Amino acid sequence: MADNQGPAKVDKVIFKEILEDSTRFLEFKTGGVDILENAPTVFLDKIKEDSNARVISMASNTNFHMVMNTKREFLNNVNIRKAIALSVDQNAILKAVFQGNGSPAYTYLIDRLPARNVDRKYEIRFDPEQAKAIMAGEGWKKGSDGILTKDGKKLALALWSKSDSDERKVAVVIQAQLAKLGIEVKIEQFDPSSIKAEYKKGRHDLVIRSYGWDNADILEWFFNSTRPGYPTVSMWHDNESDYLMHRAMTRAKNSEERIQYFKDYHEYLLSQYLWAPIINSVNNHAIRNNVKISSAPRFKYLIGPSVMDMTVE
Amino acid sequence: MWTYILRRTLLLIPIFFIISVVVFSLIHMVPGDPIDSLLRPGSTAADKVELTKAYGLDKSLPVQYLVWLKKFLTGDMGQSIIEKQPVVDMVLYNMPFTINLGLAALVISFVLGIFLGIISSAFKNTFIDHICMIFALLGVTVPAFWLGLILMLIFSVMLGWFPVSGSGTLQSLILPAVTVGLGGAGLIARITRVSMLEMSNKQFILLLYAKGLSKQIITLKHIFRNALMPVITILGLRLGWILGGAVTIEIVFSRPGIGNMLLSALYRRDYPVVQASLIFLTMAVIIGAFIADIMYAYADPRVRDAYK
Repeated sequence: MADNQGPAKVDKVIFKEILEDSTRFLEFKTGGVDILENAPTVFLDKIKEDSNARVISMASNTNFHMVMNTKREFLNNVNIRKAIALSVDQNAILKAVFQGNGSPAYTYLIDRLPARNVDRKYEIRFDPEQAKAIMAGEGWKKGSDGILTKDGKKLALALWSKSDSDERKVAVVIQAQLAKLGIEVKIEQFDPSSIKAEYKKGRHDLVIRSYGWDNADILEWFFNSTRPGYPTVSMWHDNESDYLMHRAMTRAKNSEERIQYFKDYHEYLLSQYLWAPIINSVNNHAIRNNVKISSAPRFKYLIGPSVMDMTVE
Repeated sequence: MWTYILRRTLLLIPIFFIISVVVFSLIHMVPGDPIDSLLRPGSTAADKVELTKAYGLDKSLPVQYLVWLKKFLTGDMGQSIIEKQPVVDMVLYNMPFTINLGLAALVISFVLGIFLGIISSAFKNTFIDHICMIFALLGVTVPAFWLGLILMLIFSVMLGWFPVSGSGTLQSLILPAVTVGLGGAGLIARITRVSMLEMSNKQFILLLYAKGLSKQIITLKHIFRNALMPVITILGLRLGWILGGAVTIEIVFSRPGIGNMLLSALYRRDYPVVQASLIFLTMAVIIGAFIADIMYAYADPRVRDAYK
């Protein structure tokens, strides 16, 4: 994993766990730490202004997405789910919430997984005009208040998020984006542990979530119909999906076959618009200039520079 | 006096049992399952059942409580569901940091608060009095979280006098202790001022002036001693407040401690750790009040005479 195959060039590495983002930034600014892993996004500009420090960005395993509960009214219709997914402007969220750090996600897997490379027609990209056309085709019309209405019913949904800062911010932006389509969205926030218990009750509509995983089998984790509520927050239950899942998980004879089976499974899930993909985030590591790294970061295998290649002046 | 102490000590036992039942019930009423935090992609329903059974969470709540109580009384606080280490080890590791911070903050509250209160009462309705009371009001109203960050910015970043975070040295204790202590100092200053002014109007004080004693001796030896009674009561109750306030300060200054441990365990529904932390904090409040009662009885003979 590292260029240096000999002994490490540093004598000691001290790990400090600091929960509060402001404290982490100030500790880095005063030289209390030499490396700040996953530098808080809100302080990145200030770190970049520091002539004694630099920022290295590496792709992370984290994918942000919006889950749709397929058992709820309105969302049990694949066309409505498609319209909602196409109304999510990934680039706008990337700019507004993550200050451009990351890349827009068009599928359910992180970019560096082979099974992510699906046929382009399955990628879910922002297309508000198509979204509007779909809703019109389903018989929804905007009322005087700008909310889509059909047979006297308004299209109103609850959008859940954890009280973590990034997911909460994403929820606010998506609320505004869906309002343009004509969907009235009410945001509800939960603490990270309570929300899992709430999923199992099945009363959620839309949920902002994220995961950190670097294997395509994450699809099985999130879409296995034997675990409704959590982790299958979408409450997805489909025979074709289950067949493709079992094939991908158990029947591949080699890695190429495994990739193809997961790709097939992935494409099928994308065609059902169970999630609206949002972004794949990056890990931003702030490093003081007295820490020299001899090798380029290896994006494929690592999510941070290797300590073995570091020296401290 | 000993009878009084014995009675108050015995009262702690039923209080502990009531607290343990209330804490145990409350944390299990909050939605969330710690086993969900342990499951990883690839886990099956059978894995969840096995883990639930391994941690005894499949039993009814009264049975879980009795099992926990039996272990607790023998010094076994159980195993952390998330950290997978004995809770007693986690508590013993974190407790000294919280106690250090709490005691240092209490000393700052006491010394600064009483000083401000005495000065304020001696210079009643003057500029000095107003400044002291504004300072006291700020201490009570300014959020500790915000104050901690401001002190960090000034004294750690701009002046470089203290470290931003960490523990283990006196330098790393000062800013957090001052942050927590200033809030208590404000309250104690106001109570001391009111109490001093009340005492100074008593007739026995007039007699002391008539006897020719100096103002300094009357203030410090007679008025202050009698005015201290309500302050002692507040100090005992402040201990709980300080330990509760220490939770946010431990996060801001990245210090280990019971508060930091409690917050982390709460998020992940680590029941044994939450239980132990809450009981520790609650008993600290009760023991603080107990010590305050003892000190009050020692200082005021009328209280201990009531038990003769």
